[in-house]
Amino acid sequence: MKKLLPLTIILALALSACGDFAPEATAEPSAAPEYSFTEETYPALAASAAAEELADAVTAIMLGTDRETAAERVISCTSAEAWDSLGSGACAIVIAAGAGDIPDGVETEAIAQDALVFYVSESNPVDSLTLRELEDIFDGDETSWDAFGGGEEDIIIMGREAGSGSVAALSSLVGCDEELVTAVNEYETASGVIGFGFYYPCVTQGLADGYKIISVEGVAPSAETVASGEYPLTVEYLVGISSSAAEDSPERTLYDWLCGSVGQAFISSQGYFAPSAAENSAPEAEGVTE
Amino acid sequence: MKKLIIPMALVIALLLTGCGLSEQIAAVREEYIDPAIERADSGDLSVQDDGTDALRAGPNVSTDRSLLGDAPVYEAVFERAQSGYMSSLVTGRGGTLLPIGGGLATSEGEIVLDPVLASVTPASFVTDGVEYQTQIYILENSDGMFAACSAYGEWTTGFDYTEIIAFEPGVLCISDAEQNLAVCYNNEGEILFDTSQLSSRYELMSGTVSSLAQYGSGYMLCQFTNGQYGFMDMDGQFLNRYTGGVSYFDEARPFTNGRAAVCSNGSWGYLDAEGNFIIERQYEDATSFAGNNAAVLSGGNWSIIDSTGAVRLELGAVSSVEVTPSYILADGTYYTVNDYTEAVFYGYTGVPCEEGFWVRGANGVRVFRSDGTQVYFSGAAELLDISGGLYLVELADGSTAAMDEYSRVAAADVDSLVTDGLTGVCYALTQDGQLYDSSGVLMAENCAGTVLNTYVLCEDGPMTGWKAASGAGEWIICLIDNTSD
Repeated sequence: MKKLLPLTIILALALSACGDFAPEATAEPSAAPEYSFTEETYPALAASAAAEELADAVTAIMLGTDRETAAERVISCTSAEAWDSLGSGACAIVIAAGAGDIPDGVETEAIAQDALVFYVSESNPVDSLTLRELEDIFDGDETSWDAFGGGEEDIIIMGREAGSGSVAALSSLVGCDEELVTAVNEYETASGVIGFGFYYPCVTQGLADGYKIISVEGVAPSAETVASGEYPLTVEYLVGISSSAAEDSPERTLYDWLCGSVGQAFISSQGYFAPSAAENSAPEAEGVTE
Repeated sequence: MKKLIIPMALVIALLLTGCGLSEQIAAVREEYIDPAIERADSGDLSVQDDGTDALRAGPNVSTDRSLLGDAPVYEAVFERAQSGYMSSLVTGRGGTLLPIGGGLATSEGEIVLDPVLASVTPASFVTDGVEYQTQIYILENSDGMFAACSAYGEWTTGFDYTEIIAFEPGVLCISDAEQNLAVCYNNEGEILFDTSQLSSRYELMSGTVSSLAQYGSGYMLCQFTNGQYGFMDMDGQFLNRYTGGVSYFDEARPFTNGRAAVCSNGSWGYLDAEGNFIIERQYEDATSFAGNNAAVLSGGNWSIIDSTGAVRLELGAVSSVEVTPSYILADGTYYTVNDYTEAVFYGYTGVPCEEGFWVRGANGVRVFRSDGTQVYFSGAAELLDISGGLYLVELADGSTAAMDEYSRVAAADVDSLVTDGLTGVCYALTQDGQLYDSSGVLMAENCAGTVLNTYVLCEDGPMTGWKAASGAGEWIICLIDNTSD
């Protein structure tokens, strides 16, 4: 506990001195930065859709542009495509959900945490489902809400693209018929719909606005229940680079920054949840200072 | 003291972010970041169970947040006429129907048909080179079947038709082409005719019912079981059947501009809507009238005649002839439709367009209209499109602009001209999605290129929906695509 006070003060000072958290964006940082990205040196960054806003924001502050300009540099795709592009060398660094296959020779670290959430029509009386019930729905074993006290409406699954991180998470955390959940019905609004996705895009960004987020096993997804692990379906956003990336390469520098204290604070400031503590205990990067 | 300093330090750090988060992100901060401060207060944030520091240092990288705005937050806007699934249109809800996400909503923001549609097409037809809008939509479902409905949701048919064709009376809805079964609905949803109720249906050659949509002067072109052609009215009566005039023709073309080219015993002439030969049968071939002109073949030579039958232009033994309301084309050479001369203006060869011809001069583009008037666009290098009184031109510097006939710029950097599918009014759509009317008034941002009864389809990131052109940019209805990743 004695370490607590100085550590916290150092953290606060480091955050305020690094430029990211200065009250005036143009204020001179008290410590000269060791690295500056340019249009030429900024690494090709691929991001899954759920992590796209984060990737855009990181790119924007690294290059001093707005989000729209930054977005033009970011390769936006599904999680599977993002990891494939890293494996093929089409990009140098990836920010994507960790669910699904990650190619060999890739070094990853969790930089944020998210949750797989489910949403239904606001007129649907169902407020909570168990994991077993969710599996029955997404396996196609139950096709009517009647089984869950939701009236006699047929269940309409709002699918997502094959290769998406949330489909991989649904498959691994709940179980599903992948053909059923990748049939895309993007604009269903009837009382029988059920959709799934990650908390950040669905709730924080509002992509599931107009629907009702339901509890799983009686636990509503929230920052606290996700962080505490009480909510049962959590996933991580990973940053990944090739294991062979040089220590002084741009992609490793960005990788280390995202995993470091300033990067983590920035990620939190963008509304993403910090990864679980165990994932954030990697050794300190060598030869870097705040 | 310690308990005060720790949260204060973190609060200061967080306050210094100054990133102006939106309401929802602020809610996340309230749920997440504030509890994190509380955990720090209890010591949870500083040290992990294994004794390592919670946050490690990273490289000191130069960053610039000056242009970083808030992350976008999306909001859906919709109501539903019924909470249960609506596989058929709920009628009578008022407003204009607007296609959205494979379904239909009203201009009041209420969904009245769930996503069962593969396409929605405002029914329009072209007569004499001019496009006319009905007030009917042609709906196609995912099974490839068609229905028709009022653009205002007042009536609808079922998805009972294999094909629907727009024509002047309304829409011809074909349920069985081989049996010649079709129903014609007008804008009000009234059945103008139903071939199953017409005894004359049995006189029609099987599979020819779609020719009924070739309509003009109150008559539809039809082919009889003996292979000959005739003209049928909405009551199923055939032109000249009981008047002693000729009612069967070896070949025939639909009525246009009050005349129909017909052929009997190898000779072509022109009938009027009374069934009289206004131009006697004398030609080896004949086209339909377009505007005031038609092409006829006589003695192996093509000529252009006017509506009285007078020869206006002799083309000779050309191999191909095309007559439109704005030009005549014969073996690759264009002619004007008003003075019948080769389309060369002040030494420049004219390029055909909807209104006649245009040529590029030294300092601009000049349009020579079919009615003899001219329009000049100073600084223009090319005429790209004409619609509804707007002219889309490419300027000498490669940029584009939409201008009116007085060469006044309505919008710059225009991508295309967009016609309202119900009113026919034309707008200019810029490359960055701004929609301008012909007076240069900005009507909407983020326009996706469709306008119906002054409502504008807009797309903004994952949001798609409709806004009123005269509104303040507010969504009438907006759905969010939440299907990626």
